This record gives sequence, C-alpha cells and structure tokens, in this order.
Amino acid sequence: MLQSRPRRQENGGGLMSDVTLTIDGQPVTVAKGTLIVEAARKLGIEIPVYCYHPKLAPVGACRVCVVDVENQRRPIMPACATEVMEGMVVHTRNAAATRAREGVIELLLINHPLDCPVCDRAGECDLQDFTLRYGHGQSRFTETKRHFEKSKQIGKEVILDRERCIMCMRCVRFCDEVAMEEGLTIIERGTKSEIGPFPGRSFDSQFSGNTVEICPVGALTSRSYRFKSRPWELQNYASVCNGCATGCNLTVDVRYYEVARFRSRCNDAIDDGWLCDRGRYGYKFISSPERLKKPLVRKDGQLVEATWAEALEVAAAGLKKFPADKVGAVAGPRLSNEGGWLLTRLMRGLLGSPNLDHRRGLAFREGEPLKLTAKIEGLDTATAIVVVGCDPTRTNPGIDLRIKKGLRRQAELICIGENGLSGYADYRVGSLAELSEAYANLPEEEKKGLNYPRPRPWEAGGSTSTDLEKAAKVLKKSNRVVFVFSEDHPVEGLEALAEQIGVEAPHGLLMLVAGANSVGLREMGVLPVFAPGWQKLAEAKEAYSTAWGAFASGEGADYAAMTGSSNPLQAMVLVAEDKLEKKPEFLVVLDLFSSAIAKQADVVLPASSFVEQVMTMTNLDGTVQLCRQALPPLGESLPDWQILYRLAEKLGQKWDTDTAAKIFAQIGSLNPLYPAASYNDFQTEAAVHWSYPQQGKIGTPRADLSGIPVHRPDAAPWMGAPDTGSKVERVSRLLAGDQPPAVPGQLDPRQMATRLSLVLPVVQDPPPVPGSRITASAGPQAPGPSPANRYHAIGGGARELPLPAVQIKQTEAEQPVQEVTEA
Amino acid sequence: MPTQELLSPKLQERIKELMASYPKPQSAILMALHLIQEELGWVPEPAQAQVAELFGMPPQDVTTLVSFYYMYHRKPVGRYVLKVCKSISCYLCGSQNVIDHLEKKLDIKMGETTADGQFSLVGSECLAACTGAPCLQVNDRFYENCSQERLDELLSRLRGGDSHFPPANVSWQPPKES
Ligand code: SF4
Ligand code: SF4
Ligand code: FES
Ligand code: FES
Repeated sequence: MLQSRPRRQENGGGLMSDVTLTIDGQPVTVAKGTLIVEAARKLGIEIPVYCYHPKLAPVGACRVCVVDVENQRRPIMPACATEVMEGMVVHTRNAAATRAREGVIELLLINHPLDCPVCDRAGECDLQDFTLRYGHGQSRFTETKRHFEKSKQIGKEVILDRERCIMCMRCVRFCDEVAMEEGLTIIERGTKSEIGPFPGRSFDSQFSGNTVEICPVGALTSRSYRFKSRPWELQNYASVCNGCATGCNLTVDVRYYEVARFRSRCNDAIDDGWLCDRGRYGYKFISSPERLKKPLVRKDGQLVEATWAEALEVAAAGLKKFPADKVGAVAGPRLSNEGGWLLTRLMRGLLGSPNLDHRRGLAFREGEPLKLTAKIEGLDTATAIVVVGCDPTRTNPGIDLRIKKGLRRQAELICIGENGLSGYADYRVGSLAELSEAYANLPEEEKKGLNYPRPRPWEAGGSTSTDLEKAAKVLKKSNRVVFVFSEDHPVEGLEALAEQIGVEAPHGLLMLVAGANSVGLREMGVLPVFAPGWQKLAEAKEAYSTAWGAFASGEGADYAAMTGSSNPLQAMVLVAEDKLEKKPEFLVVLDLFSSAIAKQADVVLPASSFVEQVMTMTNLDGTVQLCRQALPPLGESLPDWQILYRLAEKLGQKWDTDTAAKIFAQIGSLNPLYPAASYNDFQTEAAVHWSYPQQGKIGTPRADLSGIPVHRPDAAPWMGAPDTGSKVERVSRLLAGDQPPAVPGQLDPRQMATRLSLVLPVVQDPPPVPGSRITASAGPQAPGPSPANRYHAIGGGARELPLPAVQIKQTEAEQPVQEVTEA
Repeated sequence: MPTQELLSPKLQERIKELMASYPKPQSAILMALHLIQEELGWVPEPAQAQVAELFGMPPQDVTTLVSFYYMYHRKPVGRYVLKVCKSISCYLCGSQNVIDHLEKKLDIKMGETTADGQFSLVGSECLAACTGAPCLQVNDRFYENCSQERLDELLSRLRGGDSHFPPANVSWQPPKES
C-alpha cells in the first residue's frame, strides 16, 4: 500500500463572510477565501490558467494568470494563488498585466517544440489558445530548444512527450492529491526537469486517464486516442458511463460514426470531474467486430441469421407455448430503465408471469428496500466513513476517489475487512458487530473534537489504529457518517447502527450495487417480489391492471432460482445476462455479444449499446441520468426497449409507449418514485430525480431539490444539437464534400453547419476568436452549463465564451419505433 | 516490486532515530538520504524505494528529491567527486574554464567518472564560497580560486596519494604579496 506525503487539509465548507472587490472596474462579492481567478470567473472575465485547476490545490507554478493588483508592494500577482481581499482593485488587462503575461508566455514557449500539426491537443490546447489570445507573437529566444525522445510510453495508456510539457504539475498533483497513490513526479531540476513515474516503473494507476485529460497541452496523450482525430471533427454527446453503478458523467466524442473517445463531463454531485480508466477507455466494445448485428434463429440445431420479423415471430411463438408460470425473464444490470420497464410490462402485464429478476447481490432483502440511502456527495462532508465488506477501489473506482476526497477534508476512515482503501484507514476493526457494540457502550455524551493536524495513516508518519473504542468514538463526532458496503452485505446491522447515529441525508448508507443500472432495474420492478417503485404487488395491482390491461401480482422465482441448476422454468427471456446453469426448453436472448448462453439460445436478438440509443439509468445513489444517442445502432441491432416493444406486438399487443420519451413519461405516471418524470426534466436545474427517499421512508415524495446543484448535459440533452464544441471555422468544411448519411434522430452535420452558421452573427462581445468553441443550446431558454462546469467540460482549461442560442427541435427521443428494413 | 534490501539494519535504525527526532518524521528525509549516500557512496533506485517505504511516502517523491539536489548521486561515483560550482559568481569568474580544463585533464565529461574510479566530475549550485570564485569541492572539502595551475596541482596531489588535500575546512588563502 502506498501512502503519500502530507498535504493540505481541504476546507470542508462552513460559512464564510463575504468580500467585495473590483475586477476590471466591475464590483463583485464573493466568499472570503475565494481566489481572484474564481472571482473573475464569476464576472465572466477570463484569466488564462495552466497550472491552476479547480479540483486541485493552487501551486502558482506557471504564472500565466498574473494580474495587476493596486496598492500592493508587488503589484503583479498570480490570480490563481491569491485570495481576494476587501476593497481589492484588480486589473486583468491593463498594460502591466498584459506585459507580464506576454513575458510569461514567451518564456513558456522557449522550449516548446510547437509541433501542433502532429499534436493531438491542437485545437483544444490551452497553450495554443492563450498564446493566440495573450501572447506577444514574437520570441527573442534564438538558442536551441531542449530535446527529448519524442514519445515515451510511461504507462499502459499514457504517452508522454517531454518536450511539450510546461511543468504545470497538474498531473503530479492529481496523483498526489486526488488519486493519493504512486504516480508521476518531477525528476531533475531547472531546464532539465521532466515528468515521469519512479524510474523503472510504469504509471499504471486506474485513474491515469485523468492526467491526460487535465494536461493543458499535448504532453500527455492516451494510446487509445492518439492520432485518431482532430477535436473539431468530433461531435460531442452527453452520456453516462455504464462501467459501474457510480454513473460518472461523460461526453461521447464521435468522429464519423465511431466513438473516438470518452471524456469526463464534470458533475460535482457524482464524479467530481474524474473518470476511471475502465470507464474512460471502455468504449472499444461498441465497434467490436464481435458485436451481434443480425437476429439469429435456431434451425436444425444451428443458429442462423434471420430477419427481425422471422426472429420475433419465433420468439413470440416459443414464449406463448408454455404456461405463464413456466415463463421467466432475467436481466443483466446494463439494461436501461426504459428497457426494464417494458420487460416488467412484458412479463407481468402481457405474459402474466411474475418470474422476473435481475442480477443482484446476495443480501437483497425480500421484505423491504434499503433505507437511509446516502448521496455520493455526502462523502465530502462526512466526519466518518465506514467501508465494510466491499472494495470500492476495485468495483466502483469513482467512489474510491470520492472517499479519498472526504479523507482529505475531515472524514476519518474505518475499514472492516481488507480492501483497496485499507492503507488509508484511520481505524481497522474486525467486524461491524464489534463496532456497533463498542458504539453502544460509549457513554452518552462522549464526543471527541477533530484533532487535526496530526499525521493521517496515508501521510508519512501516520498509522492505522485497531483501537475499537476510539473507532467507535469517531462515529460519535457527528451524525455525518456514510457506510459504504456491497450488496452482498446484510443491511440490517448497518441500518440499525445508522439509525442509532441518527444519520440524515446526504449521509447514510451507500450500497455499491453490482451493475450500472441495478438500482434502476429494481425501481422499474424487475424483481420477483415488488412492483415498480418498491410498491407492494397487491397494492400496485389495480393501477397497473388499468394501465397495462393486466398485472400478475404473484411472487415469482428469483434470480438465484432462475439461473441456478434447478431452474423450474420452461421458457425464458434473458436480457444482457450471461449466467444460466440450466437452459430451459425455449430461450430468447437479447444481447450485444454472443455469450456462451446466447450460443445455446433458440432466438438471439441483437441489442444496441448505451451510446446507440436514448435511455436513462439510475445510479447507486438514486440519481436518474440520461444518455443521449451518439451513434446509430450497429448493424440491425435495436435498443432493448424496441425489441421488447416488437415482441409484445408479435404477442398481440400494440403498446402506446412507442418512443423512449413516452416510456419514461409512463414511468412518471405510474411509478411513485418517479412522479411526473419526463425527459423534459433533464433540461432544468432540478431535473434529476432521487429515487431513494431522502429521509428514510419509502413512498414519500422526493425531497425538494431546489438548491441542490445538479449538473445537466450542456444543452437540452436528447435534442439534436451538440452539447459543446463545434468549431467555428469548421462550418465551411462541413458544408463541403460528401457526408455519411444522416442518422435518424441525429443531426446531420450539414444541417448542423447551416444552423451554426446562421447563429454566428448573433455572437457578440467578444466576437468568437478563431479556434474558440461555441456552444449550441436547444430551446429558447435552455440553460447553459454553469461556469464552474463549463470550465471542466471543455478540455482542461478555462474557456469562457458566450453561448449563442440556437433552436433545434429535432429530437431523437421522439423518434417512434422505426420500421426495420427487412432483408 | 519487492525492494531489494540495500539499507543495512544498522542504517535503518539510524534513519528511524532521525525520524523520531523531528516533529514531523518526513522532515528527516534529506538527512536520511545523506546517510544512505555515506554508506553506499550513491543513492541507487532500490534504496530510494526502500527509504520511501520507511517514510511511508510514494517512491516518486523520493526520486524527485534525489534528482533535484546535486549533492545526491544517482550513479556510482569515483573516490574523489569534484563538484564544480556553476552558479553566478563562479560563472562570472570563469567556472566554464574550470570545467573545460578538468574535462580535458581527466578525459571525461561532466557527470562522468574516470575509468580508474578515481575522479568524478559533477556540477553544483552555489557552494557559498563566492569569495573564492571560481571554486569547487573535492568530496566535501573546498578548493578555491581555481586557476589552471591550481587545478593541475590539485589533480597531481590527489593522484599522488595525498588524500588529505585540500585540508578540511580551511579556506585556502593566496600567498601574501611580498
Ligand atoms: S505533463 Fe502536462 S499536466 Fe503534467 S506537468 Fe507537463 S504539462 Fe502539466
Ligand atoms: S467509476 Fe464506474 S461509472 Fe465512474 S468512470 Fe469508472 S466505471 Fe465508469
Ligand atoms: S500560476 Fe496561476 S495558473 Fe499557473
Ligand atoms: S557562485 Fe560559486 S560559490 Fe557562490
């Protein structure tokens, strides 16, 4: 286990008084302790930065952010490392500041190779952009530049070009402050300085991709994206990672109908701006040649390609052959909410079978759902985090980073059982029962103040204690406690302890469920013992019978029974699931790949991936998020919900929910956890639905979310407009030449170009600089991203430009089920 | 990667004592690296990793120190390490001539060691002996006003086996004008 050097304890929040200052003649009031650069951002004044990054502690290493502050002994100050003071008068653009900044840029360019033509970053490089905007344009340096071997692979995914590095230390600080593990550092000094891992070792952190993303220049590039594309050729779509249930937000960058890369789309409530490498580089499966492209049907013992009509016919006939209680469905956790909803409808409503479930943990409680669910954000403000019976480092890396953030602030970590965070634990205790007992035995008013500074276990000189009593006392410090556990861990003991502590949202229980949309499927009723929204089956029967015509309200076989060796069923539908010990007589499989199970199936229906459809997922803390369609479905594949819709059609029911948006609206009308949910919600600030109740009681309406900052996709998400980043000068290129055919629901590049060019005259003050980005947003009032988010949403740096409004009404979400061209 | 046990138990003991004598144990890291260099003659990478473990630091944090300070050797060095000051006073007084002369006489480049293992030539930041610029250090003994003649004298006395030359901690004074 690797520990790290002591670092700044982050401020865990708290009320601060306000300070008023003047920047470029405009007054602004901000909280005490705010940095000048952030105060300027509030006014919409751009101060260029390289080393500064809102998620890292300021270092003041590059000096490009210099501003002129009146009445100072040294008037030229780094805006990123200077806190505001009452009455401060700051000039960002006067002669002194401009001259100083020009000087800094000249120095930064001394050793820079300026090999933009072959640099991945060109077009989204802060060095290019700020040189253009703030540079002097001429260099007095005529000596030879330093030279290094051009590209050096320093990790599995990361390639370093030392000549391009401007020594901003963002990557170093990321490893040190955020990932808190072995990583990159500066080796040598002065002009010889270079970035690298410990000599002879490889930089193989599972978070390494983040360093590539935040590198402000092209010094760090990733193997997967290297030389693949120019940023202005990419169309960007807001989406959500489906690598695990954390639900980190990402941007899918598509180049000519292929995913070129995934980038973080900072959501402070969930991912804090980071992705793990599994999520970031996990897109290669989308274009894998192994993907299923055509329906397959078993004929004479062989799976052979068939038309959709034929395959659906066989599937429907097969399912109809058996009595309802001998038919069942099992879903894997990648299935969307929309797909899950239709699966429930297919089973309980149409086929009349209660046998449906999804892959989930062992400790699923039959009686009632989880209470006291925490929000991921709660980890930031917790005073104690208990990790029990799970390994977030391995299963949910995003949560691992968030726990570390809590540790840097004020949380103390108690680990029960071995996991990737054990080395950071302030306390390690044997079992939850022991801890609960010790807690119960503490004298009533025992409270221990936070005793910082003292070395923490992850700092040099700190150590982990096994003192049970002290560990229990940590839980007494406040009720801001978060328990992190896997869904295989029994929840009763945890709930009891959390109740004694009196936890309140956003703290409480954070269950690391197994798959991306495991929580969503539970809430869509893909369970043998609950109706959607954790309703009791009998109670829900009436409403669903009315809406769906029928509703089988019995309790059915569960996951273990259906996938086990004594599977009682005769016909099954398997969606995205590859465990099945005993094949029933008739098996229909919906999947992306031909798994071992699919090879035994009677009908195999090719499903589309999460970037090829509009869909929602619900993450482990109950946040419902929307993935936009970035690509047309591969081959003849279809979104799962469309397949289920057609299957129902062949079974004799024509459902009215023939678009993803309509399905979601129906969820909103029937599912008590998603009251009045609609795709339109994703446009507004309070859009995200919390499916778990905030206060521990099921069935209460969701808490009032006003005031909880929630990140949305930059533009109205499912609409045709790209959410960020269309290059101004690219418009003419887009208009010229042949383009691939338009995708249903996706804005044709030509169309986009026309629209964008129409918009350009609207942009004023300052006019767009060549090379700058504009954001097209949909709808007259569609809110743009908040400055803090836009900051991160576009590359590593801070680019602030006005957002022109452009109305594009095309919505892929409203595309009805398409007629498939039959071969 | 298992760290090769390079630090003797006795050395590890001394390092732990050092750590205990500072309010923040990691403050002892530079001293610990000096101890290692004293014992091994240089600070090899496995030793860096091992001392990082002792201090509970990620290994790259030790590398960054060892490579930042010229006093630590990241390669094996000769019996006499000539550390030529390259900072401003010495530079103005001709440190480049010193380097050129030594490179020629020893037939090595800066950063290298002679084949017989006697001399290593390295650069250094200001040695705080600017009054005697250009100056150098022979291991940790000062040698100032390095004209070509004085450099030749230095080399010949060291080659001749006078391992106490220049005398420790005595700043050399030019002969008084008569
Ligand atoms: S590699 Fe990139 S992020 Fe790291 S110091 Fe260099 S420029 Fe900064
Ligand atoms: S933590 Fe999970 S959701 Fe986040 S990027 Fe990694 S795999 Fe994706
Ligand atoms: S010094 Fe302020 S951004 Fe680098
Ligand atoms: S500059 Fe050489 S000793 Fe000071």
